[in-house]
Amino acid sequence: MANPYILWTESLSVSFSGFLALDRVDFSVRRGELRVVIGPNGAGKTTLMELITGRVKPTAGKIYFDGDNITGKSPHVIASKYRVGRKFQGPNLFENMTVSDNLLLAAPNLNTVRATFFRSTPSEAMERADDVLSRIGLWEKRGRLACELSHGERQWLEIGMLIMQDPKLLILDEPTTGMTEEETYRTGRMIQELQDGRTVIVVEHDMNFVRQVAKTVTVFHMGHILAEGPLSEIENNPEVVRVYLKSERKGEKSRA
Amino acid sequence: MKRLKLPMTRKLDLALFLVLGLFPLSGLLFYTQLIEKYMVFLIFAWSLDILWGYAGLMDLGHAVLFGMGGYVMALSLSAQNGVPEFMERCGITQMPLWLQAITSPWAAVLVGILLPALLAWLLGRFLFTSQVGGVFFSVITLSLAQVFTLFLNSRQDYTGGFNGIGDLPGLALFGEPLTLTQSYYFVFAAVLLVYLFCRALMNSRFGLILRGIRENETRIEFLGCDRSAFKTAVFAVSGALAGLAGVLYAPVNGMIAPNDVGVEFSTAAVVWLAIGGRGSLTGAALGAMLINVLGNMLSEQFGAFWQLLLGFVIVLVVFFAPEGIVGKLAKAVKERG
Repeated sequence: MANPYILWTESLSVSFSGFLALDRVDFSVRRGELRVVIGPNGAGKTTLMELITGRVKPTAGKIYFDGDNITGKSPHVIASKYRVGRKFQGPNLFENMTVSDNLLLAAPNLNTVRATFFRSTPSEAMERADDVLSRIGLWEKRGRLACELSHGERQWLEIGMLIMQDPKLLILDEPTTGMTEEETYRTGRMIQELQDGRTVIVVEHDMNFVRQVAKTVTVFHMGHILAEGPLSEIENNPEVVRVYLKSERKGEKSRA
Repeated sequence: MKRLKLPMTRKLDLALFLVLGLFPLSGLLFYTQLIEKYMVFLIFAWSLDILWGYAGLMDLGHAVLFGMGGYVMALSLSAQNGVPEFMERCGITQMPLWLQAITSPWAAVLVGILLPALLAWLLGRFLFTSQVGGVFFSVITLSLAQVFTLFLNSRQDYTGGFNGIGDLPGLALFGEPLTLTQSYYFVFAAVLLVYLFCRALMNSRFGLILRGIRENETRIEFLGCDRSAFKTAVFAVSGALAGLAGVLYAPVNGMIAPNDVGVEFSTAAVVWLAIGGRGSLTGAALGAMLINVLGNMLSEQFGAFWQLLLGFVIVLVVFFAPEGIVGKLAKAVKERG
């Protein structure tokens, strides 16, 4: 029987100079699932993503991906060998490089010294980049520098880089930060389109957006998993409402 | 017919090579010899450009790698007729074993290129895998240059000390000394080859990734790139090229001394790139040529005062064109469409 989980952690803990950011967390995601992670600031959501992608090393516990123990592996190994892609909070591009160069850098399994020394990017990857350029609507601007793009176009370029990277697991850290309602909705559509059999984890604050994309939701609170389940169940969980949703709703009202 | 459209930088490269290729026809022997020396500096400038301009690693002690090549070649050349004179003066009568190994000039060429490459590789492995970068890399390489100069000065028996190693024969091929014109074109050919080498390497995906590392180090890791491996690789290649420049410098200049390989010369190369522009090869070449030629002309006119003028020019360039002359030109051309 194949393992239904692509990612799971075993009592994962991490502390930063005494502050326990994650405390014995058992978190697991099924293959092909779109999981939304919510919770108040400082609950440990982003820290968990840092651990999965290898940027932060755990104090205790283990992380498994695709059956392998990936605890303590370097970010570049987790990205290349295990194909975990990540979109950061806020845009994170190669600013002084062209749009097509940004996409070409994201081509998978081509970023070793051996594969690049005196070699050009293989034509398959070039063609794929062209294809992605038209899909994200930046074909006309392929020769422009990334820093010359508008806010929206930069977001599309980031998404294009993720398509290019073709990850098995895609981690999106607050993808709608700073977006208008319209852009947020479009991003939600895009994520559903992007998913296409992939596993996706979205860390998000915007509850409207969560309602748009989510099926299963995990709620973090103070380094623990407070609740996990279908969105409807989570929204009516009194514990969750008390620590998180109440303040979110207030926030929404004051924003409106 | 479609007209071949070359980017501005490529046109500048061609123009520079044209001038260099035709210069000996002027018959100005003194200046031909001088330009020959400056052509060696072009190789050195490019070796720094692939490191600093492309990968963003500012080596403030780059002349150490140049000096290793230069000293290996100088030692070899001075040992052609038995124990070199400066060693005899220090009481060495037997040819040391390591010197015997590099007495053949071809062996010296090989060692002069591989030794600095090896040093750079080891240093890179050590520094980059422990995530030393940015200003710390610059400080460490700067102190390395200081240590290297100290070493050269203190091991007078092996290095000629403060005076260095002089009276070196010029370039020779198969035992035949080359005339000035032959020697000039030999160096010119080496310059062209190194240029093509660097151009090809930087146009390959390797160069693309180096620029990615320069632009956004953390992001590129999450695209599956082991940045320390790339930095180490480019540092080693840069070391080999700097070594080659040194290997050519010893016979072309006729002597080598600690002044040619220490902090001062390292800083000079940084200034060439800062003024000419980084990350295009063109800027490095133009900066190196311009500053050396101008420096020569101005020091004839103003003596040591020219350094003050140079300082003034640096301030102006950093203020008005922080991307260097070629960077500024490229921007202007792009904006004009």
